[in-house]
Amino acid sequence: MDQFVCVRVVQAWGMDLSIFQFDWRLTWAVFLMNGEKAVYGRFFPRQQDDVEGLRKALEGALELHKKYPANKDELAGKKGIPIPWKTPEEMPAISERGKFQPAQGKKGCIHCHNVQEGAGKSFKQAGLPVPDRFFAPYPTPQRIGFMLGAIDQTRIIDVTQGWPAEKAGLKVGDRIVRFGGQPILSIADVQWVLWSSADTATIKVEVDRAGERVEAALALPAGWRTR
Amino acid sequence: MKHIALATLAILLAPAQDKDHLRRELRDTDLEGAWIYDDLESGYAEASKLGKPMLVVFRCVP
Repeated sequence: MDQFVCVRVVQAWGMDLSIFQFDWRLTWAVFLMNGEKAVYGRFFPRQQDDVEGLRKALEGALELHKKYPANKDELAGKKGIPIPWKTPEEMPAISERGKFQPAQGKKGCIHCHNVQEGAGKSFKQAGLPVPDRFFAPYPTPQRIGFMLGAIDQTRIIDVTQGWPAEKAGLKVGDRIVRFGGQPILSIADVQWVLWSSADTATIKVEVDRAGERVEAALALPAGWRTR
Repeated sequence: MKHIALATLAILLAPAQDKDHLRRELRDTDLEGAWIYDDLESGYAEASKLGKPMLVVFRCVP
């Protein structure tokens, strides 16, 4: 831990939404990044093996940090996708409630789940179509037919026959190196690529299969988020 | 002169005191080791100064 500058954030007021987009419904979330605001990875709780899983992700972040800034371009997609608001308090559904403020205690605090709710409602209030990603469940790899390990979260431990991952040629034992062109440290990183993808897209996947680099093209079928 | 120095010090320390106040109000006492509390800008500056990566934890206190 002493190899990192550790920051604890307890409120969403002022949260930079050009960077900090994640599953806002969770009880906690981790960003691994640097002082230039480049994001190395995300980590979300899974209820089990979180400590070991996070330790592996931290090790991966240290490796990416050593390579920075040579890897700057492949990290660019880890920042947030464009949305109409810079901070949660700019969202109409949050600002109109008026009760929120920079936290001085529990009172008035914008919680992360408020951001999730606020985003969906604010799109509607602004007369904009609500993107599917803002009301569908935050996508897990299972939604497209594969599972990753709880500790080594880049290792595929199950592939569902007939689903997009199997059709792309992914196999149990493969270790995901890049997903959507982004280096992967955790399941949350895969979830981020899925969440931020277009509703119909083909994701380039690079895996390590017994020491050999293999590339695959994973097609997301129409309706994959909500089926 | 002494008053000016004290006033300047008070201004410089104000953000940290705010965060201490927030932490006390939230009874947020489970952090171990050196953490920057609810201040990402300080985190960015410290990480750039030390050349270290950052571990940023979002965790609302219920």
